[in-house]
Amino acid sequence: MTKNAEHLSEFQIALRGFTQNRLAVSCAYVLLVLYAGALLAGFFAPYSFQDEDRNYSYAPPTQVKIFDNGRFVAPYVPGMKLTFDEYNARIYVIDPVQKYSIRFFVPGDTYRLFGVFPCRHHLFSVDSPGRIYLLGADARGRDVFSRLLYGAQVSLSIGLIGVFISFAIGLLVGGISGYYGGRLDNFLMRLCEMVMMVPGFYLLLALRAAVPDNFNSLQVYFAIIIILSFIGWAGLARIIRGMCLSLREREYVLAAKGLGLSDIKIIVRHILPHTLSYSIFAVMLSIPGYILGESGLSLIGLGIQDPYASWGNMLSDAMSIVRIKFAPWILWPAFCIFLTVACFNVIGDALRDCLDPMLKSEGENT
Amino acid sequence: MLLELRNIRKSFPVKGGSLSRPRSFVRAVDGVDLALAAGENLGLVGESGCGKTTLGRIIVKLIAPESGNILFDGKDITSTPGRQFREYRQKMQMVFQDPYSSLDPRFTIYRILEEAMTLEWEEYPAPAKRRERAAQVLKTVGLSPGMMERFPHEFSGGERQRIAIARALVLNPKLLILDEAVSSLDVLIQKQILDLLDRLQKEFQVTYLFISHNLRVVARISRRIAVMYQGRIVEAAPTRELLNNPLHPYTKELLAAAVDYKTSVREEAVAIGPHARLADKGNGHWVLAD
Amino acid sequence: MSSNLLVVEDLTVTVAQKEIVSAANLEIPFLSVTALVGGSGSGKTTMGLAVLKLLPLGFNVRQGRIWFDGREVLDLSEDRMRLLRGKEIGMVFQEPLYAFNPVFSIGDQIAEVLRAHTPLNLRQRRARILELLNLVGLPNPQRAAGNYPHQLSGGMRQRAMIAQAIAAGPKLLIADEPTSNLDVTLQAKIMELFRKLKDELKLSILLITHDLGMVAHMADRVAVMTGGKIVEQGMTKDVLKDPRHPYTRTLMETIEV
Repeated sequence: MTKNAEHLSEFQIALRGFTQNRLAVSCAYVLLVLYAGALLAGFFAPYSFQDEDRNYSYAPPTQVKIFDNGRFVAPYVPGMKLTFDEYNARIYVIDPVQKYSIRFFVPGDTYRLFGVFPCRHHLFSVDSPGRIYLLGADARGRDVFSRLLYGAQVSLSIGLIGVFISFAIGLLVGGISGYYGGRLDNFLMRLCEMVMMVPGFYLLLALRAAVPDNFNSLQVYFAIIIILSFIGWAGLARIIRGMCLSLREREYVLAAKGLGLSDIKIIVRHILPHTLSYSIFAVMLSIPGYILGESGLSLIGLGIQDPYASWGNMLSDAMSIVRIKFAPWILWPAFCIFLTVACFNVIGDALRDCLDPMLKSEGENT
Repeated sequence: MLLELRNIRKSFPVKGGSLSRPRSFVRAVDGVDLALAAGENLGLVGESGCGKTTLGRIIVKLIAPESGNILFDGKDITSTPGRQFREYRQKMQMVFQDPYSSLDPRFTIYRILEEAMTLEWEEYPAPAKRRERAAQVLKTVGLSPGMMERFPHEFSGGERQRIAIARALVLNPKLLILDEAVSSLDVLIQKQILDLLDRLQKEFQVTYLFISHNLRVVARISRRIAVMYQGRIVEAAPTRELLNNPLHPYTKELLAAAVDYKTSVREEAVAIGPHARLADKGNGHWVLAD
Repeated sequence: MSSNLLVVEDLTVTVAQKEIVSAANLEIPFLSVTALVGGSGSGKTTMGLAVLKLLPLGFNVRQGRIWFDGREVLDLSEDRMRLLRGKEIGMVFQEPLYAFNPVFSIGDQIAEVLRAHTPLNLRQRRARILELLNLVGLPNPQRAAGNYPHQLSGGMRQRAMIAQAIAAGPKLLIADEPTSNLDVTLQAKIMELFRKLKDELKLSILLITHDLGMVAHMADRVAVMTGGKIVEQGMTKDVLKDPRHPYTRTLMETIEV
């Protein structure tokens, strides 16, 4: 027994293994950056998600220059003009005369920080009529970079909130089912199986069709979250129930009963915390499913609608190979989805690796 | 009589398919009568599967008996509903066999002991009082109160068992049931724990019901021993009497195994007739006979 | 040296700078039951594993020599060790459920040992398996061979594990707390089985245990171990009659009734 070291529970010791996995920690940082971008979208994005300028339809990413005739100057953005070449294809020509400096902490469109505080300042921007398109523009001349940030708000939050609701329902149902057993268990598990029986995507479409047409965008957003959560809870509930069935036989549960604790207290204090080792990585590994679910719905036009940005609906523009050939930057949302999903998967795997031996040893001590 | 058991029966269904009704039942406890006087430790001995653990759990109402009566301090508590039973829970506590799984690995020692105060929460309104009680009870079992912020996995088997005993003592019970409480420990640690139990008994006037498969350990701490086999008590006598003069064939077998590490020569299981009853052979010595 | 099957000289085993076994000496004569007695954490299991060079990762033999049947063990290559394990030294563990693979039947697992160490063909192996299971006292050898580990009771599993350990006809059987998980009655039966095997198969046994009572009834020689050191060693009746070391005396107190 060490005298001066900190005293950590076995769970905390197992999680230490996670911090030693450099790949997983890097992925965690990447996600942190993405979520920070989403949270502070209004500040980082030079333009609002609906700020269009049809003069710049499908404009390529603007080049940021720091040299002017060999001299080192403050970063600026050259002007662009839309012309057509001999094949009537659209090209943008750089106008060397026009120069727009990039300015920082610029007042611009108003937005609400965290959805609450009205703000006017953006991290960087250029004076009009210059446009800064860090990652190019879409069909209507809207800045892809800005829309990526606003889209992140939708896509990333739906993943988190949806999973949180599923997780809560799954724990509740699984915990009660596993602890009490008998007829209640039977009933709840058959219910789970009925939900799991219907193929996921069809259930998604069917439930979406049931949402009234006159819902505004915010209501559609919440409806999608609820729909996704409804599909996802059953799998988790079944596994939690299995774990609870064996956990309730543990001697510390019997001891708690002997000490007069009520059933609810026992489930919440002694049984459910021990399902955490499994639940944590199950949740991590299922977040990508929610993000892809929302993206899929938005891609086919049933999710978040224009003008609101979501990574999925930004990609519906990219369904034509011609457009991709001439404006490849419209694929940025796909890359973001890929990055997010990959990071969650790596983190989930790393968590499973470090929590698995603990799961196993918890099982052995019976 | 502190505790009295009258004709306790409990059967468990043998697991068949999940859809079919279970066909056969195992008679875990098959008509057990037992009496325990305050201050007179009773040892309950038998092999695994003889029903002694089930009986222990029935006494603290973790399992409900099929039939029979449990009397505590003269009052029949067999069918006392949950809420009223709480005052009896305070009077009888249990220490389990496996010190590795009877303490929740996610709880600090303090939290484990604090949980034991649940039934008497009004007595400890302030966290400071709870800490005081926890420290007090840890000192009683020979552990340092500085260990309160540690986790169970940081302790050895013997220390964990002391913590389990401390937890059982928080409520000042009159009856402590120890279900194979030393069976998973080394002989030296076993001795330490048994010495501790002796000391605690003198200090707190608590009576023990000691359940084990090892006659030698049980004899060390019990005034009276009851031998259980296939759900029934086959012999009961004061300790010295049982060790010097075992009458039932199964008792003789247990004695030879526990003390001399010898097996008996019998080929089949000891037979118990359906109409066998405990007969008084004098000197407080009862034997099951047809 | 020539009358001893196993000799351990000055063995020190460390893990992470800590000495688990310190300069330990042990002698196991031919055809004897030698007991290694100590509490948990005394290093006795580590000693048993060191003989078979089965120490877990992180454990290092800092110094010492081990002779088995006249040959030095610690210098042997892994290939040579594999010939030693099973064929000349068998090991029985405390928890048979963990020593057996749950997805193979008992018969299959004993057959694996026979395939590795003996030249018997399929029919001969089948016969030998039944012979072994009968020798260890399993009531229905045919059925036991087909059973999976979880289908047998604790006592029967332990017997099956002993059958597997002696399958290739080793000279030494190392038994590490073989009965700590069993009831007293089963314990007595396993002890009797060991006595029988020692006589019928000319087997030497190293019995690792914490129970001095078992030692008194089973072992010819005893070595008392605590804190990684062997504090007393000798013929059982001599040590028990006149224990010199205070730790031995403390252990003696546990066998009073």
